[in-house]
Amino acid sequence: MKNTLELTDNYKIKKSLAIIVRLFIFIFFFKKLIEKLIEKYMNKNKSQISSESSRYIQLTKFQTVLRGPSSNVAVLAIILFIITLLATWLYPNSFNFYTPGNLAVLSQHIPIIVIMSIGVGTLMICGEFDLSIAGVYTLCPFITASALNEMGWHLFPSVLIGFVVALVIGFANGFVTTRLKVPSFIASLGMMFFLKGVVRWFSENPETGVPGSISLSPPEWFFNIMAGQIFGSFYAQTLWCIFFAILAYLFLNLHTFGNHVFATGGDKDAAEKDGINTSKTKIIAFMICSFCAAFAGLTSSTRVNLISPGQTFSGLELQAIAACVIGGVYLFGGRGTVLGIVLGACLFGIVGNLLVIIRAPGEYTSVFMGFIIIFLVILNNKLGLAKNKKDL
Amino acid sequence: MNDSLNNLASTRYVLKGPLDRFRAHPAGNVVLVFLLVLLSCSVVSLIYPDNFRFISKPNLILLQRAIPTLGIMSLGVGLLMIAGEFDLSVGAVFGLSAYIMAMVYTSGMPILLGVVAALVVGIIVGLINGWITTSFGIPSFITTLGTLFIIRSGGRLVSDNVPIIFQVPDWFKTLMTGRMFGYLQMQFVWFIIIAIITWVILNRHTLGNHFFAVGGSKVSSLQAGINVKKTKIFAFVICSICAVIAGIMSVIRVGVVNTDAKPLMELETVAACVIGGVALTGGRGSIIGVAVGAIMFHLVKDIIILAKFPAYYLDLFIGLAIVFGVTLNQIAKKKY
Repeated sequence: MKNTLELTDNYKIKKSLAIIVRLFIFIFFFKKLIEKLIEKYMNKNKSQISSESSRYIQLTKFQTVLRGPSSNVAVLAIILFIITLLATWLYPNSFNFYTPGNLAVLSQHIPIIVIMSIGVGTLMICGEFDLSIAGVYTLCPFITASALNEMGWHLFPSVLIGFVVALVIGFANGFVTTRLKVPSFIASLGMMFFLKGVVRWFSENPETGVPGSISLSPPEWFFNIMAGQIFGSFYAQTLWCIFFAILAYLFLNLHTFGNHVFATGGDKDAAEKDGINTSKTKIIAFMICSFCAAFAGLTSSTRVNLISPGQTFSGLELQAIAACVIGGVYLFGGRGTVLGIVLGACLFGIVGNLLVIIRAPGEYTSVFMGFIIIFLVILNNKLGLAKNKKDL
Repeated sequence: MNDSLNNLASTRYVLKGPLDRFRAHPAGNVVLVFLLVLLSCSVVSLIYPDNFRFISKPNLILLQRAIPTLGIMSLGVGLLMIAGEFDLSVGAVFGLSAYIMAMVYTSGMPILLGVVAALVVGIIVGLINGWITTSFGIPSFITTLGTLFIIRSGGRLVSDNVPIIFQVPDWFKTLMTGRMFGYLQMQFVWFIIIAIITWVILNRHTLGNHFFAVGGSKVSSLQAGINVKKTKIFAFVICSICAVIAGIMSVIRVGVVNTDAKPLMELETVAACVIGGVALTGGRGSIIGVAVGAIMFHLVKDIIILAKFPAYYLDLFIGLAIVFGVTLNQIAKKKY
């Protein structure tokens, strides 16, 4: 009996995967078809303009959206939404995606990776990497917790010192990258090892020499602000996530700083000749990235009330970079949107959740994400606006 | 442009003495630091033979056992980085290949067939990495990040998180992990052999010339008639093969395989290469530098353990050493 059940489960998984793959192919094909039709239509009307130079074709608004950095991930998100709706309709009893419990899990879990990805994405648009965020994610709440619970500080200064440490780490990363001309990949790799050591140092039990976890028990009002339940399956983390996304959008698109970030990432020399202080921009972007990681760490550890030093090994840095890349951020900077980053990070969480719901082994999540990374980046490259890329 | 070329020429060929010329080599700095560290360690251990046992048989053998795993992987990654690409999937290949070898061997096949199977898997991974990177024109960082996710969890799916315990035949064990002349560990001998092979490929074969050309400037090497795609795919395959060899070597002595590779392995190899003077953007580097970089990684660990510092100094120092080493290399690059 058990055997047949497993068989049917496997069959279901395989079938659903096949359907997903077919949907992918269909919708992306469809998207390209629409684009081509529009192009044809445009050429009929404005043949004089397009014949002059094929490079400066006026794109319609629809076309710009279709070719924008976040279009592919948006299509993917819509497909996922349709699939979940269909599955809920077909298997209302076994497919528990739209249940209050599951949505609560999602709204507590996803914001953390979203907030972190927003920071990493901002930095990647600026043309740099940060591999040290897993260390910041662990260290800063750790400092807050030890100041609050072990040294008996007041809440406000202990939270503040955590964030100050994060900003200092970000500044150090940026300083090493911009002044000492060390590639940020290496600078933050060094910082990652360094922070691993620092976390181990702080967490070591002086008697046994074994690193142990620490508990964070803030007052209740603070818990409610950071991770409290607002109503139903709607948690404070979600609000914070939306707040960060809006803030990042405003910063990147409506503030001079965002302009500088895009310019620095796109072409550093040109930006410098335009009078932009690229070093300053990069250092600020590093600090934003560290701050976001520290905030995500504080939120998650407030919810769990526990910080374990093992978090530094969790591979969060690569996950965040992967989420950004899925969301259409160009790896070498200068291109990307906040919407794409948020959707990419959400995809990471939702796909994992979906695979848990259809009872696939947990490893399928990573396998699936690996395929999605490669697939989406190929698509982003093929269908992107920027045809003349830097020499890769 | 002309001006800068002239400047380059003038600063490049008026090197004052042998030391300057030595430091102008990509691996010059790290070799210099390495020799200094080695010398000072030897002196200290001769002065305090009881407290700092650097020159003692157990320590030397321990070092020889520890270095090759990272070292062999770094050699492959170094070649690939000289050709201008990254490979983040080596850590996953490292774990998976050993598991596949053990799986084939425990199912009753001869051990050599297991090794061949592991190598075939490694070559396939390298081909896929290279094919996707070159034919779709996406950065290798992303390709191999994707394959890292796929292989690491694919390995866990294959293994069901159950470790395999096995005993390889004695001749194979002595061949891979035995001891020669009392002091020489076979792993280290293999490391040196592979270093020599990669050196020959890089410096005495057309392929190596192509690696440098492709990593230095893709466009000009295309114009010079080099098949860039083929060269890069070759580099990916060599890199994966090195990871497979390291993976097999690391499990034979212990006889237990788990697909849970050590985390951060792929980043450690990149760090070792960059300490050894390989440019992150490609086109500059040397095998000696990569080998010494990997050795330095373990030397620092060894010194910290021998000097009885607390364990957390390990990561602190490695982090500082990475940044310090690369800063030194950057200064050397600017100066010479």
